[in-house]
Amino acid sequence: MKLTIERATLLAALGHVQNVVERRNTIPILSNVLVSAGDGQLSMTATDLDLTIVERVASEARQSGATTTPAHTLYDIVRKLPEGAQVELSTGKDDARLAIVAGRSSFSLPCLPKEDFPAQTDDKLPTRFRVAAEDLRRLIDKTRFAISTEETRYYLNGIYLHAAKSAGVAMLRAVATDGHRLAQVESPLPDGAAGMPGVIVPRKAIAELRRLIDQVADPIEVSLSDTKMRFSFGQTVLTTKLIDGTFPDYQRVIPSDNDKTLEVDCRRFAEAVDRVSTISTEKSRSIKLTIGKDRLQLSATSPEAGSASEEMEVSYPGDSLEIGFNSKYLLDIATQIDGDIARIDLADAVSPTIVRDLGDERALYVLMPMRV
Amino acid sequence: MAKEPVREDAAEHPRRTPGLVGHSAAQSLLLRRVADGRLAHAWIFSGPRGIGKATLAYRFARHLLSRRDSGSEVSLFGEPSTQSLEVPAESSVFRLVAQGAHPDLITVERAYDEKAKRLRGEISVDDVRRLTPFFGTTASGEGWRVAIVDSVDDLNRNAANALLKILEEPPERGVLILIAHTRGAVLPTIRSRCATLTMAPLAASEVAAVLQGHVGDLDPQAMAEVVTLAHGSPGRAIELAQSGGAAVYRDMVGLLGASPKGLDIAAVHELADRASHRGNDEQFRVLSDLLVEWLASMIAAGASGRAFRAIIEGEEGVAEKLWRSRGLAQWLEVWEKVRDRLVQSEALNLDRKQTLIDVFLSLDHVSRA
Repeated sequence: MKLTIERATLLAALGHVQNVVERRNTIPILSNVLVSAGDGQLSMTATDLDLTIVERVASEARQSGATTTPAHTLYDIVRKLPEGAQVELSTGKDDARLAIVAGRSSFSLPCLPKEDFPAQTDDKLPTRFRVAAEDLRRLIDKTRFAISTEETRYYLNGIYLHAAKSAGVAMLRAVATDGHRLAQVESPLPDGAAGMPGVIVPRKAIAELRRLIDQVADPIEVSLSDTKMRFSFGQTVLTTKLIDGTFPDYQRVIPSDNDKTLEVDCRRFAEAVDRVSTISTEKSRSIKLTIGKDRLQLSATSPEAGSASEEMEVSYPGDSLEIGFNSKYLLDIATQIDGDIARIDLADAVSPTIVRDLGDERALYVLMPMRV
Repeated sequence: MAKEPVREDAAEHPRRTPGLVGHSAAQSLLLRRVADGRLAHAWIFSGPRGIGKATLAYRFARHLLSRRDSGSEVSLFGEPSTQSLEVPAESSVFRLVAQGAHPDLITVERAYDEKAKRLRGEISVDDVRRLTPFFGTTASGEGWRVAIVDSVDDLNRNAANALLKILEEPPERGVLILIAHTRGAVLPTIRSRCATLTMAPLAASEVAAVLQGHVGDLDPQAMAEVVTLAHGSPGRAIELAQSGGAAVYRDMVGLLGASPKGLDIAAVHELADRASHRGNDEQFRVLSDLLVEWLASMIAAGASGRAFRAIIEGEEGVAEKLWRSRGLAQWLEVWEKVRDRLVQSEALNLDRKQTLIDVFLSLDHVSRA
């Protein structure tokens, strides 16, 4: 293999793939990135066995070939090279070393054979559709905070993505929950996604995908089977395994008959919750909402830290009610709401509560109360 | 980069070993079960150390991981469509497994301790918990997911309980292979949830064949000694050959032969020094095993009146002399004590040299009375 490439192009591509490679790896080949040149392009592949990323950049190789070399070291070298440098990558006869030459710097990195690299098998991914990058970002952003980190309930360690009907309209729906709160966000169902199996996309894949599509403007190609999912955008292809489990029947926990409706100014509400929660103890972080006609009092007391209370004006016609929540969860949800007014539907002090953005009917949050 | 954990009781890691000598019945049983579609979700491969349990486990894993069930034809009489577990060494499945980089295979073994610069003494609960996300994730291919626990004997109590959790809710299209050097020592709750494949020690000729392949230039005399001492375990034979086990054995019998007239203290120190060298774990285990086994066969020979099976010259005389110095009950007690001392010294991290000197001194003391 022998080719010359501009530093910035190489750095951008390496920057995308190197993040997938675990820092501490007991398996040498998994610390490596597969670099392969040919057909007018340079491709770089990295994997942690669950997640594989391939990045392709146009580059005319003088000699095609492929090898694997430590990803983080290669990235660090390229990062430290001066801007605008032309980088030459080449392997010797026996492919045992990768030589990197730029100006008067030269490096030689150990290689492992490309045959030992866990390459992606050519899978059959029958369902294919294109989703707007903006929609995908929104689906992720508004739900990922609710993903569970509890490893024993592994089937909650991801976002459940599926096709669903909402008021008779077909939607692509993302749901995440950790058993205490739930986030459900929808976007129009793309063409070709109607028959898609419901899949749970693991947390690490979500984080990586979100990072990579931050600046993407073009639609994202999605293809999936019930065991794998692939996202293609620009020069990047990200393939992930899925979580092998059944997502709970979440619709059962979304109440439909919460009759007490509280409407609050979302920004002021979030600030008040944040202020009062200063007092609530580390562990439970509970905060009490005392709701009366058009008035809401937030309060917290803790034996050690003292007490706090704040009142605010709201719109609430119903009977008075006292209800407790985890202040962190309340804040998390309040942060997701972009509109001015949040609508909170309550039943009683022990039943699940629904929070909605008055300006966005496609997002819905469910929160379990705490006993206070 | 973290150093790759080294499996101490094998010259080569079994995941890189292409062939398997013997165990044809075990192999055909596994093949038949897969072909029938009646493969148990968890297996215990049990048998003495070094006979090829892990080698079979990896061989079987490679076979499962290379299967393409969807297209293959099911035979009318449930006969295996393939006659062997063999997966060619140049195939990608073999290469990935050898690297420890196959996405659908996970191995739980004693982890390498960065701080202490050696393998941990046991498998901890965190090591076992890696299985939950592994089985909670879809397979990368279209086939099986395989986990190998090497070995169950190394699991600590919490790790064993964590493993039980996984066995209680077996994953779909997943196989757990547990390697057990002592089946009786496996928790009954684990044992009852697994199918057992009992693997027998190999014949002497088979051991010799494996040894030849690994060590090569050994004179016939030493070869015969090592093969006899290995009791049908090629792994042990290789270990003995590489650590000079035959010489250790000779020295050990020499020391025992000096009792009761007078123990050569300098020689005891020299042998104990050699066997307790830090970072040389197998030396200590080789000597402890040899000593405990020698005492056992001396007692067995004495009590049954049969001839002691001598491996080196003059050995039967040593056995005879020692046997006569005490009664059966006392010897049994001594044997048990010696065995417990040696096991304990590892478990409690005692000074190995002191332990060995102490054991030889107490044997000397017993034989004098």
